[in-house]
Amino acid sequence: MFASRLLCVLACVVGTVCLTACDKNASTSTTSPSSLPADATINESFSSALNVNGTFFYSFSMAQFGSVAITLTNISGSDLPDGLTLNVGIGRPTGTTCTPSLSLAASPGDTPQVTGDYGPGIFCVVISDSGLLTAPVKVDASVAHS
Amino acid sequence: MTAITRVRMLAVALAGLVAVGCGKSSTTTSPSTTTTGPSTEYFTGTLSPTTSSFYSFTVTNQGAVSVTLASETTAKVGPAVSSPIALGLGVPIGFGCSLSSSADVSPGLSAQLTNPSSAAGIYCVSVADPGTLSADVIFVVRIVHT
Repeated sequence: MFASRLLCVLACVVGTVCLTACDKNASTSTTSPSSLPADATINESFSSALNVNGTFFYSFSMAQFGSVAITLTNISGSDLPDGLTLNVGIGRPTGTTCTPSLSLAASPGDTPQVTGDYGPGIFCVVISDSGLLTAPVKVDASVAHS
Repeated sequence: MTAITRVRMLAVALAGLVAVGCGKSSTTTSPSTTTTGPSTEYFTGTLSPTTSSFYSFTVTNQGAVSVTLASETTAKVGPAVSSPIALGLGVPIGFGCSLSSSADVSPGLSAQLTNPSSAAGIYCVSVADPGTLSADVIFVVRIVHT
């Protein structure tokens, strides 16, 4: 009788231990998924001269994974061709340049032309002549990020 | 065989089942830790009086970073010069390199700037005229990092 009870108790204990040990979700502490990008709360505006066939880049630091929105706000200068676009991209500073992971031809405007989710880390906005410049221009742009 | 003996045998068998059942795989693999040596990059260029330039690089694993102004000449094939150059180490921010350490140095064989424990991330090395250059110089900076 005693042996039977002992067997039963032992089986229950082992079974419980096994179920607990094998269940990855059995932990009492849970963490929420953190895959949602943080809102862009920091806005940095910058300006630079851009030469014919030229390029420049601007680096910024993201403390966490979050949304990035880059806006080419204005191009000013003399003799601007109609429908002028510049290449606007986002990437990582590498060597003496910014290596873009995404780049597209953009016209100036108020709506962000390049958006995405990035970070954390240091990133850069790179703006270059798409082949349409006939004279140096002044470029105004901004980057919103977390 | 007594009941107690049977209980002991059952306990041993169940313990074995627990050990096997909770394992992800019945096969074992050896640890595959790989140790990579430090990387060396060279930042070269021409530095004009009153100007500066910077170079970005990526530290992939936490470790030491050392920066050496290895060479300074007046031409690709020309005499060495020893005019001090402002050498800096930092992170790319905005249009430049935000320095965490810097020194006015002359070319040498050993590192003039070191950071024994740099976290993984993007860093930059800058060179600038500290106000002593009277003509262009060609420089070579050696960067060793993990």
